[in-house]
Amino acid sequence: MNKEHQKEEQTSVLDAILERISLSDQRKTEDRMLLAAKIDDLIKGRGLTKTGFASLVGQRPSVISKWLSGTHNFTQDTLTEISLALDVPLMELFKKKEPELFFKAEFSVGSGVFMSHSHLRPLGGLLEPALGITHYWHDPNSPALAVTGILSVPQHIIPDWVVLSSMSWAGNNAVYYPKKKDPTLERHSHTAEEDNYAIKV
Amino acid sequence: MSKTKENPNIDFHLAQIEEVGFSMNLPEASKASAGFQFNIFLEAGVNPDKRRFVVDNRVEIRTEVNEPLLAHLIVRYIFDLVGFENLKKNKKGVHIIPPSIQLALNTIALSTTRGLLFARFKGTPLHNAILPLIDASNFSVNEVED
Repeated sequence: MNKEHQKEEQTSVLDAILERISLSDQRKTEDRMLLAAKIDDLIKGRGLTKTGFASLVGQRPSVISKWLSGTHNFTQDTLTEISLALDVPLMELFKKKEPELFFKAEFSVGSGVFMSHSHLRPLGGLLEPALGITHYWHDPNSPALAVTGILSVPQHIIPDWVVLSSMSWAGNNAVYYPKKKDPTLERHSHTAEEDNYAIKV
Repeated sequence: MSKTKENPNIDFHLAQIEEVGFSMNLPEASKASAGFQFNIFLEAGVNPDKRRFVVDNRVEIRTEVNEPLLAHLIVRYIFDLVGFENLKKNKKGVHIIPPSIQLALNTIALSTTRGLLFARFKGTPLHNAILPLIDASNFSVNEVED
């Protein structure tokens, strides 16, 4: 039996077991685990060891291990003792942790008018500080070197706009002023180029 | 799906997609025929209680900056996390998310949003408002302080 089959079989066995557990039992187990994790976090947050915490609540360390295993059914009085020892209101033990935000960004992306005109070729870009970048395009099949398209990209004159492709641009909505020197910003500096898409990253 | 040499013990999978909000301003959208401006808001967090990543992605579409809103879509992506205990914490007790995982989450969220937008816009005046391909490693500055 290959590994894939084994895994499938294990999953189906697990699913079958989970189906037999009632929603109420699942919830009880989850809540016990969450409560134990919360108490564990508070103990660690106060720089206590299990032994140190055990002496605070007048219990043996083995009892603390059972409490933190996530299987213990706490009584109201025990929770009160724990909250007193940890110097937190009782309700703090039931408070859900706020999600920890680790990424936040706001930026803009433009898509051009020439999506369906792939035969057009860029003729060059003109840097206009008040407007942004104006791109000129022409059709290589046309006899004269006439401009067949103009695309103005507003808000382009900020340090952290980057070209993603010939048809789209991306950058932050506001000028970014880092508190400390950010080496990546240098990478985002741009210059007008005669025969390019006007921005070089 | 995210196991790499860098993060051998952390894995996650997309468990849920919630469309939190959608609107389309049809009178304005019917006038739009040229390029589109997409304002994108992306927030990613870890829920330690439920051991999962939550990524919120909001997209607003206009023809140009300061023009009326043509449409907006807000989507929440929930990723179940395997190996949560392997995430390291900083001195403040906040989990440190490896950059490669941040990048993967952002990329998945943006590309899924592109598909959802396309499905919503198909056959409408915004049929051609396709969210451009975005190199998530290059696009923006993380505003969350270390």
